[in-house]
Amino acid sequence: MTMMFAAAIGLRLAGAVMLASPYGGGPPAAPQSPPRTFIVVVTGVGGDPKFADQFYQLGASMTDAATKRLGVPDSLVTFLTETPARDPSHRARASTKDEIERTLVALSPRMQAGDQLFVLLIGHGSGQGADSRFNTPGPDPSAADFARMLAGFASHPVFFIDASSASGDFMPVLAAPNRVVITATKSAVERNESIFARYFVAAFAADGADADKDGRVSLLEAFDYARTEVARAYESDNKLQSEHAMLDDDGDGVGSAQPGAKAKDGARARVAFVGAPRVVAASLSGDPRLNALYAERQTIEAKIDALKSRKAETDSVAYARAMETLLVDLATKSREIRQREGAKP
Amino acid sequence: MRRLTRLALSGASVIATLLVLGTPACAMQQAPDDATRVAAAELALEHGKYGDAVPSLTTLASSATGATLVRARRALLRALEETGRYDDAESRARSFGAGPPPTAEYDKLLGDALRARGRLAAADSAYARAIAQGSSDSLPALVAQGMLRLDAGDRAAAMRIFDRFIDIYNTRKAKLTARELFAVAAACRALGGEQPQLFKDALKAYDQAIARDTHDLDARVALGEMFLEKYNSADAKTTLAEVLAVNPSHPRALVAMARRAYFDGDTGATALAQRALAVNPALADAHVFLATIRLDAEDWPGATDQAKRALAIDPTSRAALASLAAAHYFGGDRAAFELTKGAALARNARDGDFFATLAGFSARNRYYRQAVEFAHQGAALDPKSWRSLGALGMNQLRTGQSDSARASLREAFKGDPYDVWVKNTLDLLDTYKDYTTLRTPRFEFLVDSKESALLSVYLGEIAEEAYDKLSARYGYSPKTPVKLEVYRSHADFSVRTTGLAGLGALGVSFGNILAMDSPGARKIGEFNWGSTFWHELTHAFTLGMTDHRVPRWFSEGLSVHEERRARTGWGATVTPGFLEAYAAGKLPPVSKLNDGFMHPTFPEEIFYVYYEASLVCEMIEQQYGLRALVEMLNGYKAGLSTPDVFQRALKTDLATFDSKFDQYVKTRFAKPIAAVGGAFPALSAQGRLLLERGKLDEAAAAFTRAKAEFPEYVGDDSPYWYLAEIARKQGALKSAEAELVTLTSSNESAYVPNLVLDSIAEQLGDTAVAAAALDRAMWISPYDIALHQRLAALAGATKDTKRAVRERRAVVALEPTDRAEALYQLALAYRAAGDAASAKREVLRALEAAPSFERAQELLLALRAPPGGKP
Repeated sequence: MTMMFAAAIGLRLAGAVMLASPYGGGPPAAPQSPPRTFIVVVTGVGGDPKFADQFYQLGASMTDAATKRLGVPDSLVTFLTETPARDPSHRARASTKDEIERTLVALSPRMQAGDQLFVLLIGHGSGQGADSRFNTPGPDPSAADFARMLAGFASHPVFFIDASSASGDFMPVLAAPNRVVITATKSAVERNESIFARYFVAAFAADGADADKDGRVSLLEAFDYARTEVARAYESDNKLQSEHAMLDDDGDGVGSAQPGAKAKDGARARVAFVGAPRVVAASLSGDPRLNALYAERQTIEAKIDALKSRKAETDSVAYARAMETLLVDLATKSREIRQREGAKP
Repeated sequence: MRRLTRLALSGASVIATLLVLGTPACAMQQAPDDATRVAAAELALEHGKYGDAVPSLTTLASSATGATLVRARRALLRALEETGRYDDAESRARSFGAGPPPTAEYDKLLGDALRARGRLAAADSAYARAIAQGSSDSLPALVAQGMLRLDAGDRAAAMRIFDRFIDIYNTRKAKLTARELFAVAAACRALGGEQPQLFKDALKAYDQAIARDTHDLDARVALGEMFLEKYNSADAKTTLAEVLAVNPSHPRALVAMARRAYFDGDTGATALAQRALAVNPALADAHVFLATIRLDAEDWPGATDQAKRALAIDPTSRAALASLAAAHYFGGDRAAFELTKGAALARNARDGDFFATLAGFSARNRYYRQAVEFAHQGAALDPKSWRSLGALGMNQLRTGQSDSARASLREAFKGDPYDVWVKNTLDLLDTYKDYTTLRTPRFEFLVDSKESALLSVYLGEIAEEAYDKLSARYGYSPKTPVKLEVYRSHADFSVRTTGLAGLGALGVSFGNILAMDSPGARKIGEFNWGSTFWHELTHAFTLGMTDHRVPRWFSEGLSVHEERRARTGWGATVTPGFLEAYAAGKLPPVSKLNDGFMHPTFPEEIFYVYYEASLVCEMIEQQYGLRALVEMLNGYKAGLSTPDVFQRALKTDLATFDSKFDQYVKTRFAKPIAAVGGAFPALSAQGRLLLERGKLDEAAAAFTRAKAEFPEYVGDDSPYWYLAEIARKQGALKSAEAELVTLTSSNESAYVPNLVLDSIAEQLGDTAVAAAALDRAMWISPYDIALHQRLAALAGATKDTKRAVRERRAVVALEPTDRAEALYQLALAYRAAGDAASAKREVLRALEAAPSFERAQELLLALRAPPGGKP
C-alpha cells in the first residue's frame, strides 16, 4: 500500500515520465522524449437516430477532451464513427471492423517505448463469451478480434474501455498484463441501453472526477465517477440498475466492481492517465532547492498515506491530531514550492 | 380460478318459467308435480327471489308428501332464516319436528334460528337432538355445537368436537354431502386457530363442498369470510362476487362484501350493508358492521344505536358487545363500558378476541396506549388469541416499544402465520438495520441510511422550528423526544402504518411518534415533504393536548391550517373540483365532517374534506381567534362532545355553525364558485386549444380571462402555468417570471415550475427570486446535486450564509464524486458564516480525501492564521 502510494507520488512529480514504473516493476529509465497516449475512439452503429446521435456526440466529446483538456496532440487521436462525414472538423473515419483493424495495425509501429494506447468503444454490444461483439457498420468485431488486434501492443500500456451494452464478456478475453480493461456491464446478459459512456466521457470532458485534486483524472477516478453517477442516475429515475461496470487491471480477467485499495484491481488504473503531464518533473527543474522541497513534500505525503492506512486501528482523536499536523505541514510545504516555482524565470 | 358452475337452465328467466310451471292455474301446461315445484322454489331461493320462494314453499310445506315434504320444509326454514324471520322459522321447525311422525330432520335448522336470537341453550339442545337422532344434517349440527362451545370459551370441548371431523373426513370423504363437507371445512377453520396449517385443509374442504353442490351458496360465503379473516381481500372479493352474481340479495354475502369494501377502502360499504338489512332486517352482523363504521367515524351515539340493534336481535353477539363496549368507552361512559364488558365476559370469561376487537377500535381512533392495554388484557385472558398478540405488537410499535413489539409480533406470527399485517410488520422490523438514528435536542429521526445524511440537513432545522412555533401557538409541548420515521419505500411506510401496503396517505402520527414517506418514496411533484412533516407534527400537538380525543376532522383541519401558516404556499389550496363538489352539496357540513374522512362517498371526497376542515379552522381563527381553537382542544380533552365543544368555545350550536360556515365558504369563494360552474372551464379549454394551435396571443387572452375568473387556482394546469409558458415563448421573461412566482408561491409541489422560474430568474439576474424558487424545490425533491450547488452559490451571493451552509452540507450528503471539492466548498460556507471551527473541520476532511488540493491547503493555512495575522 505504501509502496503503491509512493509510486503514485513519483508519478505526480514526473508525470508520464513515470508511467512505466507501475508496469515495468523497476525504476524508470529516462526516456528520449515524453511518452505519448494514442487515442482511438470508436462509436458503433446506432440503429436508431437517437442512439446514432448520442454515440457520435459522446465520441466527439471524448476526442475534444483529449485534445483540448488533456493535451493530446491531434495527430495521436483517431475518431472512428458510423457517420464520419457528419462534422469534417473531427476528421473521423468509418467505424467498420476493417477500419478499426487498419487503424490499430498502423499505430503499432508509431509507438515508442512508454507510449500508451487508449481505446474507447461506445455503442451497442451483442453476443456472449469470446463471441461478444461490438456492433459496427458491416461485420461486427468480436472480443476475440479485438484481442488479436491488440496483440501487437504487448510492450505498451493499453487502456481498453468497452462502454457498450452487453460488454461484460469482453473482460476475460481482453485482460492481459500491462493492461487496464473496463466494461460497462458485468456480463453479456446486461443488454439494456448503457449510460456508462455518458459519465465516463464526462469524467474527462468536464470537471468533477478529479477526486484527489491532483489536477488530473486517472482511469480509476474516471471509472469511479462513471460508476457512481450511473448508480445515481438509475436511483434518481427510480429504476433498477441494469448495468454494472467492471474494471480489471491485474490481468486475471476477473473484474472488480469497486476497484481500489481494498480490491484486487485498481492499482494500475489509479496511476494510469490519459495525455500529457501537467506538472513539471522535479528531475527536470534544475533547481536543487526545489528538488529538495519536492522530496520533503513527497515524504509528508507518504506519512499521510501511512497514517490513513492505519486509521481503523488508531484512536480517532489521535488520528485527527496527527492528520491535521501532517496536512498543515503539507500545505505549508506546497505553498513554499509554489512560491519558489513562481519565482523562477 | 374458481368459477360457479351453473345449471344448464339458470337465471331469472328459468326461475320464472319454473314458478309458472309450478302454478296450478296455468291451464295450458300439464300440472307439475310437487318435486318440480320444490325445485323451482329452491332455485328461486338460490337466486334471492325470496318473495317468490317463501309463499311457494309455505304451500308445499303443507301439501307435499314424503321426501318432497321434508325438502320443502327445510328450504322454507332456510328462506325464513335468510330473511330474518327467526321466530317464524322456530315455530315452524318445532311444528314440523313434532310430526306426525316426529322427526329430528328440522332440529339443525331450529338450532340455527335459536342461535340467531341468542337462545344458545335451546339451540344447543336442538343440535344435540339432531346429532343424537342421526338426522341428515347431524354433522353440520355437530360443528354448530362445537361453535357454541368455542364462543362460550370452552375451547377444549370445542376442539374435541372439531378434531373428530378430521377422522370423519379421512374415512368418509367420498360419501360426504356438500353440507357435511361444509361442516368439515368449518371444523378445520376453527382448528386452524391452534394449528394454522389446518386453514389449508379448510380451504380444501370448502372447495370440495362447493364442487359437490354448486347451488349451495353458503359454503362460498363462508369461504369468502375466511379469506377476509385472513386479510386476503382479493380472493374474498372474487368469491363473494360469484355468490352475488347468483343471488344479489344474499344478506350474509352482502355484509361480507361490505366488510371487504371497507377493508379495501372502497366506497359503498354502508350501502351494501343496508342492502343486506333490506332483505334481512334482523341480521345482527349487518348492524355490527354499521356500528363499526360509526365507531370509526367517532360517532359514539350512532355506534351505540347500531350495536344495541344487533343485541336486540342477538343479546349474546360477541361482536355487538365489543362494539357497544367500545362506543361506551370512547364516549366516556365508563360505567356502561364496564357493564358491557361484564356481559361479554359472563358469556365467555376467556374471550381474548373481545379485547382484540377493542384494541382494533382503539388504534383506529388513535388511542394507541389504550390499544396496547386492551391487547394486553386479551392476550392475558387467552394466550392463543393471536389477534390480541398481533394487535399488541402493532400498537407497541406505534407507542415506541420496539423490542416488546417484535416479541409480541413473533409470538402472534407463530400462532397465525397467515396474518399478513403481522408478517409484513415483522419483515419491516428486519429492515431497520439499514436505518440510521439521528438526534436533535427534541427529536429522534429514523431514516434510511442511504439518505439519512441528506434529510437530516433539513429535518433537524425544520423540526426544531416547528416544535417552537407550535408550542408557542398552542401553549403545549409534546413529550420529547418526538420520533420521526422516514421511509424510502412507500410500501414500508404503508406497512408501518396499517400493516398492509397500498395506503394512500403520506404521513401518520401515532402521537409523538410520526412516520412519513421520504421525498424519494414518491414521484417528484406528488408531495411536499416539508409540509407533510409539519402536518404530522401538528397532530402530535393536537393528539397530545386532548389525550387523543380530538376528532379526526378537527385534527386534520388544524394540521392543514398549520401547514399553511408554516410557509407561504404550503398546504392544500382551493381547486375547481372542491368548489364544484361543495356547491353541489356533495361535501358534508361541519357537523358531519368525520364521515367524509372515514367513509367518503366518492374518491375525491377525502381530499376535499381535508381542505374543507382546514377552512373551518381558518375561519374559527379569523373570527374567534386562536384562543378559540385552543379552547376547543381543551374541550375535547375534557371529554366533551363536538356539540358541547362548539357551544363552550364558540358559543354556538352545531347547526348554526354549519350555516355560518356554509355562508363563509359561499361568500369567500362566490366568484370562483360561479366561475367553475360557468366561464372558467371553457376559457381554460379554449386557451389550451389555442396554445396547441400556436395562437399564442389569443391563448394568452383566454387564459388571462380564466385567471381573472378564478385567481385563487394555482394547480399544475392553472392559467398561471400556461401564461408563463406563452410569455416565455414570446421572450417576455419578466411576465413569465411574475406568473410563475404566483403559481409557485401557492402550489407546494410545483417542482418543474420552480425550476423553470429559477432559470428565468437567472436570465433576469433576479438572484433572490431564483434562490427562493430553488429553496421551494428542495422541499419537493432534494436529490439533485447540481441544484444544491446552484442554490448554495445563490445563497452565498445574497449573503444568506445559513442557507449556503445548509446547501453545501446537502451536497456533501449526496456523496458527490468530487467529495473533496464539496467539503472545501462547505468549509468556505462555514467560514463565510463566521464558523471557523466547522470550516477547519471540513477543510481537513477535504484534505484527508485529497491531500494535494491546493485551494484547500490555502484555506487551511488561512484558518489557522491568528486573527489579523498573515495566513
